[in-house]
Amino acid sequence: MGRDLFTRTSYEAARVAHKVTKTSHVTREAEQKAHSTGKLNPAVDPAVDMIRRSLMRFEPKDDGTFEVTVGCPIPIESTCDTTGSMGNNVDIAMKNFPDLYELAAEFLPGYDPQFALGIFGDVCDRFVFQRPQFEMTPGAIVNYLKNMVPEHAGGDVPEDPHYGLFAAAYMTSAYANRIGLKGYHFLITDASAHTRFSYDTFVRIFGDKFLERVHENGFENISKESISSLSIGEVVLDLLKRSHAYMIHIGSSWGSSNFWEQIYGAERVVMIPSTEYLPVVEAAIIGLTEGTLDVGDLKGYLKKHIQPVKVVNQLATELEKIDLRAQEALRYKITGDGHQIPKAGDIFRSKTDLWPISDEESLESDPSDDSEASEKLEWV
Amino acid sequence: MLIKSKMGEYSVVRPLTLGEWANHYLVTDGEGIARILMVARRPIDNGKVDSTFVALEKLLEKSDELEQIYSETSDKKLHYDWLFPTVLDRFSIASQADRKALVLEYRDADPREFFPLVQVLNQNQRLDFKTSAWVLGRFLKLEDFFELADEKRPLYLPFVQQNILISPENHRMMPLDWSRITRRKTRDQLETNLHKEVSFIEELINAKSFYTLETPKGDFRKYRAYSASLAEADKGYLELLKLCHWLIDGLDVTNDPGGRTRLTFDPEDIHRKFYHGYCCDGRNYEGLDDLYGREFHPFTTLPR
Repeated sequence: MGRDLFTRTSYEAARVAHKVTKTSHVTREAEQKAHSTGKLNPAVDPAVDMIRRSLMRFEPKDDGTFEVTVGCPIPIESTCDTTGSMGNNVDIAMKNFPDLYELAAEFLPGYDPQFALGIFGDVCDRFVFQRPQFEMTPGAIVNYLKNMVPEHAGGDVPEDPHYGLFAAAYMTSAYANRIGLKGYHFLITDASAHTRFSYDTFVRIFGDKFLERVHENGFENISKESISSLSIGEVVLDLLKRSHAYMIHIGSSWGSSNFWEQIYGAERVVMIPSTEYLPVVEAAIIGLTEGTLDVGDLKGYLKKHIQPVKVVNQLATELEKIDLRAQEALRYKITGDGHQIPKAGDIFRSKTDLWPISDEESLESDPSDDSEASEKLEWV
Repeated sequence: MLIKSKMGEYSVVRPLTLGEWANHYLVTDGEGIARILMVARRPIDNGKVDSTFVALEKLLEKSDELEQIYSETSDKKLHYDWLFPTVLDRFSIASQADRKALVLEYRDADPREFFPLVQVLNQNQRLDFKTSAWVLGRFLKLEDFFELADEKRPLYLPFVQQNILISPENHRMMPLDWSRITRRKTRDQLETNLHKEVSFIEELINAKSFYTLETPKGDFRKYRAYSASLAEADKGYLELLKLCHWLIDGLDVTNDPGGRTRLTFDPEDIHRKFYHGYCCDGRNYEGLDDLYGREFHPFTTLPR
């Protein structure tokens, strides 16, 4: 899977190669094509290769083993509203992606951030939900963004982002989850949502084989019958098992933010005044969760990237309340069990192994030395 | 043991509590002033210490803001900042797995003067009415302050008997372990907390004799003895505590023998009625003022 790292230059080169150098209407060609064919491009069609995967990047070695090229993959997914006033969000995502990548990567040292930036419309729209694979190279990211088909119009309330939440919860396979870490999921909207699911809409979005894929992905308890009684709250609870999931509310509608607080909990609903601040806010959530951004430094960090003092103060208040250092705690748990988070250069016997060979060897050595040493330390 | 930060050195005197997420120690700083050191129990608890820091900073900010507002109309002070500790220092203990630590100060109070209120129960002793009244007043003021500090997402510190410290000399009451602080999810949590606090007071005054308490300094102090026969006012006080439970339930018809309609309430409302009594459906309910002739001064809260 290579060892390419994201750079702003390579991203701009990819935009030129994909002929999306303008700042607006970057999806015009895809929209026209979808209009004539009635189909989505496979890069964003949730029905194509339904399970989205976030995997380690390896390079095969001569001895048959595999070397980690970048680091432990961290899946970062967003499900973004593109109805009504949110209709230009793909243009914004295309423009802001270099900021998002650089700011997020700063807080994920040694990791391989992988992005799946999806969008949603309404059930009455042609395309309810679009979801790319987790990608990390500029070419692939530009390709899926330019092939999205945002609805622009519509925007009736409540909306239908919950099919995207379902996919994030049950149709994702991530290495990070297998070793006990979590990825990140951001739902971005300015409105409330329907709370129940329709089997027919699932078939429209994912095709009639979707339940088989969900079962293969480990969720055998979900059936055609159970879907009708499934609620958005249950889905978010399951999503939280695999992701540090946050609802980013654009604007200050009390009604809809209150709706989401009932679903996510108040500490997971982050109100921001404009999509302009998404890269900084998403990166700050990642940093505070990883423990690589100290909450004492949060305001300074926001001031570095955002001018209006009022906005800095508002965002600081919103961000301070999140689950601080939650990923750091998971990392401590992993290291406490005697493992190390895989890093570039580690060797795996097989691509599907959980831990590198070096980790297996260290586990085989006598672990009692460390525990004895720590017992000798006098701690408060 | 000496704990060092960039700002100073802290000498550990003795442990105070070993909590679920954080341990607390009595320490002295370089100038010999007593402080509380809060340390994450394990590295995975660092987030809890950070959240505590955020919550205490927010409370301080709000307390200063409310004090400013109140000063425009009154010569008195609200002193909400006496209800929680302030953070003096914040650091990681590098030699101890980078666990996060806070150094806490009780404003205008020496932490050695405080003692765990639960000692009264542990020694099968009782709290006098007067002390119990100001402890409950402080509880109500604290809950009121949480509501004021963030109306939309109020803070919430689950009541735990072992977590309550008091300093009778200056009428201070304060929870020790603030790592339990979180955001209130439901209104029920507030009601449950208030019920627990009032029940705790009832428990404290329903014991047998005077109480002797050990302060963190290690000395024992004897507080006022209580007569075995209840004065009329004291009987009324016990009724007043029952009334507090009804007020917390909003005088729900199912709980109130009077069968009155449900009233809206908040901690400030209960605080006011606890001191001053109130009239409902043509009946007067006595408060501390009526029972003890203004012997009790209510804690100042921001008028609404």
